Amino acid sequence: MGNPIEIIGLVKRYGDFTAVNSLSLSIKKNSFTGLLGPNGAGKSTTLKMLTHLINATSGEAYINGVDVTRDPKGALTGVGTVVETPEFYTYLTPVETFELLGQLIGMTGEAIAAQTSSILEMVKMTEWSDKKIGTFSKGMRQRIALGQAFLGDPSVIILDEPTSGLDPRGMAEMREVLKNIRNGRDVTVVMSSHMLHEVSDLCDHVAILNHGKLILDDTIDAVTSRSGTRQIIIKLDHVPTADDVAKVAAIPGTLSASRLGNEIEAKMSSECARSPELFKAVSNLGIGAYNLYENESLEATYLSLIKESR
Amino acid sequence: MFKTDYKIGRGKVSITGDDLRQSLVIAKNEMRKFLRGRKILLFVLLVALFLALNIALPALYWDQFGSYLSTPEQIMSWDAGNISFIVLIGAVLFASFTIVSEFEERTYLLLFTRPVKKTTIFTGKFLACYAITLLVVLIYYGVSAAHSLVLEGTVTSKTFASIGMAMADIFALSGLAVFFSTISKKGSISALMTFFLVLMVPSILYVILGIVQPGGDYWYLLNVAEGSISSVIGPAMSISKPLTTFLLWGSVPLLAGWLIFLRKEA
Repeated sequence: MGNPIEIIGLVKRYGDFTAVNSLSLSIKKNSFTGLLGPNGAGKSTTLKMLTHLINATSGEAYINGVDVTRDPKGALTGVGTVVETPEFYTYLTPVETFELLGQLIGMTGEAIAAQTSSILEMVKMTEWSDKKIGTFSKGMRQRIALGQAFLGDPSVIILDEPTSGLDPRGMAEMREVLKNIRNGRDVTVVMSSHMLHEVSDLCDHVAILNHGKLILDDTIDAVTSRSGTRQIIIKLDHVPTADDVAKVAAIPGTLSASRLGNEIEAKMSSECARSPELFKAVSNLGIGAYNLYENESLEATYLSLIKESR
Repeated sequence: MFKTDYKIGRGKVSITGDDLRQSLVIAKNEMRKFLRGRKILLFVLLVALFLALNIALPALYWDQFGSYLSTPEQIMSWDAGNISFIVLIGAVLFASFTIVSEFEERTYLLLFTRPVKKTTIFTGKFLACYAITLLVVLIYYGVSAAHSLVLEGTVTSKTFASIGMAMADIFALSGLAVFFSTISKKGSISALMTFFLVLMVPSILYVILGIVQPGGDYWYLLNVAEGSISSVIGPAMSISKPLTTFLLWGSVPLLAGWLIFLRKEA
């Protein structure tokens, strides 16, 4: 059992309803795994069982080799969590909150002080360190929530929809912090999300759940190239003409091309889409192309898997 | 790191040194919540009002009161008559909210996902509720003692017996309130249930029992046991029955609340 998180046959039933159905999943060390699935798929229930907020009906869930269903305290030692949008004790400041949480996990006063200042800097909350959390906006609280998950240098971080309920600016700020979450750290991250582009942006692994069952567990790269084709979007400085579309379709490796509003959408082989030569080829077409990017095909794979598993 | 070199019990209910340390951290934070909140101001205000009335009214109507407050025992007993109500206010304001507020305010998502046993959280919260009421009750006794010193120049040593009974009453009422806090979905419901169960039910039972069994010894009723907080200052009396009553009224709901809390899911 070398993986930091091992879930074996985990079941959660509410009466006749099975929220999580014999789920088995391994999360590799130092990976950033996105847990995807529609509403009611069992993502949050799984993470709540992992963080011992709810009890499993049956099965086992190991964190760093300790079964959370048998020894939750032992299993959650060395784990940072952000479940949903947690509220804080409004009468405390961020510094006092970190002090409380640090004391709970047995950190010394010096260690808490040192980590608090670096974490608050990381989540850009230093200037608010001595203000009561009760006065903070939701975005600020969420940044504190993310920050506290790093207290005590955890080896595993569990995030349940960390950007949910935030405004676009808050989401962008949170994503920025999440992008750097593993910088220089030996940490394994599991994050549930509804947002495919968020998972695509941040994670290197993805696990898709539906009806409480695991329907896919792979690397993002493998998932996005499952169909063997990739979708490239080419932006032009004018509305694309039929001639422009034909020129793109003629690029070697291109399977099809079509106009998509003011852009051209091209389906290409993986080799062609990921080749540095593609920029040169599009540029040489003389069609006024000023930008091109890959439209992640995680969405297509996700939708097809969810449809199949209905 | 605190040494976890001792352990009591086995499995889910084992207690280690680290658990006790964490309980104290939780109790300290809960106390900070009480002391920084508005409820403590209301509590202190009510207690100050009781004290003011207790001291001012006899002073204003000394001709009528003088004969009742002529010894240090009578003065302390008179003042201690309010203790059970102060303890009830403390239980309603603090203990009846202590668990349910974690769910109402969604702070459970922060606290319950820590490597902390639920028993540890429950213990820490109960300790804080007990301590905050005890603190205010001790201040009340302090002012009462000053009242006695001013009027009679001395304080009866039986005050300590009264404090002991008050401490047992705090245990009983805090235990009841924490139980309601564990089973309720709203703090207001928990507070109302605590208030009515303590204030109304024993009084109703007392009246009914008085009709059914006139002249009986209803020592097991909470309001009867609470009478001992002031009567213990008077002539010698047995404290075993009221202590047993306080212990039962506190420990049974506290145990039930703890068992329910262990199984409570978010």
